[in-house]
Amino acid sequence: MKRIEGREAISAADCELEHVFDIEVLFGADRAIYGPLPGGSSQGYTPATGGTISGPRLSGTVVPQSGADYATVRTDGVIELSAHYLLEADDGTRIYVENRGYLVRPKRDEPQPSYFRLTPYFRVPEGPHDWLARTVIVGGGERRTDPDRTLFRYYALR
Amino acid sequence: MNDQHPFAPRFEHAFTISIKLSKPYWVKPSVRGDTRAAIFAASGTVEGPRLNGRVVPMSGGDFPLTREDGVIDFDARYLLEADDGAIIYLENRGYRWAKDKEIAVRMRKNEDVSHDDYYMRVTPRFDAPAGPHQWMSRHVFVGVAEKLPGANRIHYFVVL
Repeated sequence: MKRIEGREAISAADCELEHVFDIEVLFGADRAIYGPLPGGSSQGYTPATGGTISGPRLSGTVVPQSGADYATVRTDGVIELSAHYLLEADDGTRIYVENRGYLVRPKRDEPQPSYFRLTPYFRVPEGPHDWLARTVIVGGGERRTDPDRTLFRYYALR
Repeated sequence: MNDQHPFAPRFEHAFTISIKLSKPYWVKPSVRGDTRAAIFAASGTVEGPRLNGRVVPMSGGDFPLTREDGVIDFDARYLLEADDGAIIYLENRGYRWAKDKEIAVRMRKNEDVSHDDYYMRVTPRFDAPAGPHQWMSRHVFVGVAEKLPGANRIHYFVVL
């Protein structure tokens, strides 16, 4: 990753990441995997029961019970994430988020997934948060337990 | 500012896809009030350290929404053919917007502008067959794109 702070971008391929916010999502106890589906994969269901958003560009909450991750659990150990839920910013704005990415199951005796990266897309009304609907964002995830939750850390691609 | 952060993702250049585009078609206004376009991948090349090949001609294209705020919201699907003959399906989402109104007018006329006059970034997903390219279906990528008259060039980085 090229960093362009302190100098002009010299190529269209130059880009940089800016940490914009973290979302900690709490999961419901009724999370489950159903299947197998035709082709051998399974259907995941991980409801978001709530959570918090904090960071330099957005603060707020995850709207309780507003959605879930409907992942495809593949036979090769890769989980294709497809989460949909609502956020509520501190000013009351409601923001729809669709989060897609990959989680590769932990290697033996490792606590964290060996790969856990996402690209969220947002739908948001015009106003102070509408930059979310014109900026490509990438995120990383960290699984946390007790209670069952995930920390997503998001970076805007500048 | 975040170089030291333990979560900060790292990127690695994987390949660059250069595409010549067909003429566009327009649905405007769409029932939502924005404009739907359709533009096809007439031909293209894939070059880079992790993949080489071509874009399968007219295998698909982009069906972007041009929003009233001037943001183009991409939705592209087409096929790649790797040098070993493997066919790889690509779907791409992302955004393009000009950094001021005068640049937006020039881009609408398909004139050449500087890459730092606009924002054009994408996040692709690939359906790659089992074998040497299957890593493409288990990594997140970002693409930094250049708009050229009648063409585009997208530099893809794998998020490690």
